[in-house]
Amino acid sequence: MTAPAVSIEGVSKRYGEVVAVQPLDLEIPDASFFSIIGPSGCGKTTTLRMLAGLETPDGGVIRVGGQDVTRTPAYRRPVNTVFQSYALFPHLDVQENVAFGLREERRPREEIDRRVREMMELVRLTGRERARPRQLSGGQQQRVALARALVKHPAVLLLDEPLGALDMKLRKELQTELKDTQRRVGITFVYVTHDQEEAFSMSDQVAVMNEGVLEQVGAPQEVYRRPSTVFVADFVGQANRFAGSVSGPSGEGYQVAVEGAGTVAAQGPLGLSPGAGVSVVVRPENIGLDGATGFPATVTSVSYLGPSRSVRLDAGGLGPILATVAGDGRPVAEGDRVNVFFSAADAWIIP
Amino acid sequence: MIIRKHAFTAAVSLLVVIFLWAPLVIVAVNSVNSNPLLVRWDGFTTDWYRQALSNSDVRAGLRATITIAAASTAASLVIAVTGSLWWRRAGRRGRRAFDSLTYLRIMLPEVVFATALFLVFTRLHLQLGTVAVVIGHTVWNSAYATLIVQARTASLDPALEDAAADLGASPWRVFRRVTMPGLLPAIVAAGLLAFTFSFDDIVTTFFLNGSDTPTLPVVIMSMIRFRISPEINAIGILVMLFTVTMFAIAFLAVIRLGRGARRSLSLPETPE
Repeated sequence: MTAPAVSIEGVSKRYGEVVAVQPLDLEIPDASFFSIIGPSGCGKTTTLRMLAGLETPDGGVIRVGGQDVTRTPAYRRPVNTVFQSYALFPHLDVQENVAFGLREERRPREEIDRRVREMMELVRLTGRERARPRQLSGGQQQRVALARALVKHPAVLLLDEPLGALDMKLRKELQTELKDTQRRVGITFVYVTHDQEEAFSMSDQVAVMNEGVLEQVGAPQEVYRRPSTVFVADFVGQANRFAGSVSGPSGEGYQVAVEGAGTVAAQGPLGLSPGAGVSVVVRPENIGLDGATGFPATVTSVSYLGPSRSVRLDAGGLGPILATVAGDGRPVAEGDRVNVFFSAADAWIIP
Repeated sequence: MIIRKHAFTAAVSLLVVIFLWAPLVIVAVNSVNSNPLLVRWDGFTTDWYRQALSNSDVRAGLRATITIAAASTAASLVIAVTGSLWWRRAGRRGRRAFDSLTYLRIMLPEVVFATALFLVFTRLHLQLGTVAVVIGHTVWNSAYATLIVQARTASLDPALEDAAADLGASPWRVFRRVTMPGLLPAIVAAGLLAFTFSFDDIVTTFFLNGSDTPTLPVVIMSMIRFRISPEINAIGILVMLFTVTMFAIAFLAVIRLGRGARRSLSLPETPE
């Protein structure tokens, strides 16, 4: 078994009175695509900057490849960063930008030339060596930033919202490209973004942060289907939440008494005791509208989205419910009375 | 039509322009006038320029002036760059104190600083002279230089320095390869301005130069005190040409800086 690429133990950071990152523990597996997601101000960028060595943690230990780098300055760490605004050097051309890090290592000229050339090929910018950063499109600048960091063969590549400034279509293209690049070079990528969809589409694992606290770490599917906190449930996609209390075990899960909907079966973490107040989370796409069982609700609005329709429902005391149904399924209209249901496998309990 | 309507203001403006510029024109004309008493135009000559350039007082004065201006410029730039870099990372109070000290050095009359330095030097029994003058010039010169360099550091994107450090550059290498190139237009402009201000200073120099070789402006002043030699005109024009050239270069550097600040080394537009 190889050591984790990055391990963080009890690392925290505060700016005056403001706590940016609460003591944090995190292990990032080697050669994986790992994302840290969360709303702005959640501490994800601060965490990344502490990994880069651009911020000094107030406490804790950071290890890269098993080596303690907590007190190592940025310029001696085996990690490199792709910055949010790319931070390309405007007074240097593309070639010089990519060669910057190797020149600081005092590599021989031939080696620098060869490695820069390879990188330019990898990011498909061959022929643009003499261009200045400002003469490049946003997507090209992004690739120069990537090449400039990767050419150093870092143990870990840090990416701080590298696609944030690009339009939707280009983002999607570059997401695929980034994931491909990561597989090809086999370097651990730590990717910070506020866009959960982007993180999900590329990552082997995601960590969700909120207000300086790490809320959950897991594979995208795990985090989406089995959120461990209400915050995670709401942040990664839309969620219907029903308040209730555990009434007893049921097969592999539990029975939960939900006021206004009777007793529902749901899955949840081990060790929940009867009587505990919980939330049951159901994703909109797992809500069915024509159940023989379930509870009654009235359709309050329907919006057609092409492949799907988004239906808002009112179920009395339960509050509004959101359901996503197939675009070409049985038509529903405002005012329809329906029976809302979901299966136990799609309902997840948050303590 | 417009002139007739505003006849009075037009006349006043014209008088002001004549009053301001006529002496300069006369000096320029007389600097090539071969009449030694300058009472009438006697034809073109370059004798006064030749005489001025071979006058040993003028030459020594020019040498002293350039030495002082160069030293004061160098000192001012070091103060301006280090000060501005400190300012960028300072807290609110530090910044306010720094700014107040800068503005005070520009606002307070030169004669106040010159007197104060004079008193300090004589009280400490230090010899007045070139060193004292350089210090005296640096007091206000460093303030002007700071204003220019500071404006530039404020628009430098700190992410560029982070990126350089991230790519393996030590703090000194970051300064050499990223910060310095970013500040260069401002440093050029500040240097030229400082040099020019020092070059034609008379107040501070007069107070602090002691018995050292008088600088060019002081030489000129003593030359006109007794009789007006025609070569004064030539010296005046030479000094003027020099100053105008320096200012023009500084001005162009500042313009480039302004344009470049937006286009290249400046802060990125905040992403959505």
